[in-house]
Amino acid sequence: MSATVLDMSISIDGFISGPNVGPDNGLGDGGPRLHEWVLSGEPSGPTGVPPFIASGVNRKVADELMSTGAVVAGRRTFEWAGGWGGDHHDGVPIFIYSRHQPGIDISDWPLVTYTDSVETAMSEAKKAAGEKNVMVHGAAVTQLALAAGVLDELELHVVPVLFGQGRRLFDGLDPEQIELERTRILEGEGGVTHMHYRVQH
Amino acid sequence: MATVVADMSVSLDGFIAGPGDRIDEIFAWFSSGDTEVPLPEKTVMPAFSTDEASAAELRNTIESLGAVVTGRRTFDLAGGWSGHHPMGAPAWIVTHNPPDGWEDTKINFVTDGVESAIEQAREAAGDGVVGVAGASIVRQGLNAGVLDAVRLSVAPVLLGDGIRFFNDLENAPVALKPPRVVEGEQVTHLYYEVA
Repeated sequence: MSATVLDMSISIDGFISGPNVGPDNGLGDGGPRLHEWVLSGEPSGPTGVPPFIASGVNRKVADELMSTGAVVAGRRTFEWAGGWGGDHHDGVPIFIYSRHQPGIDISDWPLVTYTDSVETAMSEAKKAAGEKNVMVHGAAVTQLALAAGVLDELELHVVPVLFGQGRRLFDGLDPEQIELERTRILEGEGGVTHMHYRVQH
Repeated sequence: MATVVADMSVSLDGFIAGPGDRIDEIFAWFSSGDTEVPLPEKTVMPAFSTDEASAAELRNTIESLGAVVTGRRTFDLAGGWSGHHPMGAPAWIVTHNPPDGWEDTKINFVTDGVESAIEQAREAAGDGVVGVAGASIVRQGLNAGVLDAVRLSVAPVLLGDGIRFFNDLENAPVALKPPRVVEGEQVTHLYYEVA
């Protein structure tokens, strides 16, 4: 059965980006620290993103994420990342939640669909993914999907740093508790802890 | 030399108490298993009864604990633990107005700030651990750079609102070392030394 799985790297104090976030500073000041666990070496290739680490626990976790069958993200996540050039990985469909028209030109990207409903984005992505899981990305989408009960699992990569400020992953949730079941803990290289939870709907 | 450790149970979204100071879910792991950990002093609290891995963590905590520092709000919410902090160590409470009636207990009140309270607790703790609790006290300790480690016991719940453990940090980012990870039945204990 396909599951929608939130995938986010966060600081111990729950931030997904540092302060002063903007289109040219998508991860905020110091934000790249949160993603070092998955990247190795120097920027390379046309995207300027360093290649994935070659082995170990962190690689295993990255491979799982890259074997998902569809991607759901928010507009900001998507557009600030340059739309991933229209293909996040392996040509899987991408569903973008947005209340507005696309802010970048997506006309040449057949994999990309904009929708103004998180529920629609998640259900269409599940259909498209078949037996595979759906990768979910972004704070706004997370908050809406949790509220709507359409997020199935969380895979958080907790990085050993306190940011103190920036954008929080869990913010503005309804003060209504959501029970989770912890399904896996993996200790990654460099002190990142991969924590996996299933949402108890 | 004592080790100063911020030690708190938190929800996955980083709250040490939910709306209305609710702590049932966050502290559920204290009573969620069959392994008993007796408390060192007779208090109003019952013994812990948790899973084996968490029980080992609690036993370690109790054995190594030399002193406790916390805030007035925590003290008041706990009714002053009837004069005996449940972990058995003497406690230093940071407050502006020390209450009367605690003279014959191991509760001490400090009116000149968190750093002073931690310093006094350090002296009393010898080579043991000074446990620091309470969101405001931990924040001030982090801002003053006097914490050696942070231990989080992460409960499997999102609370959405309440009192955040980490807020308004001044000297961020604060780098921490790779954690020691202990998997309880559902709770996850993460122990980070400050780098």
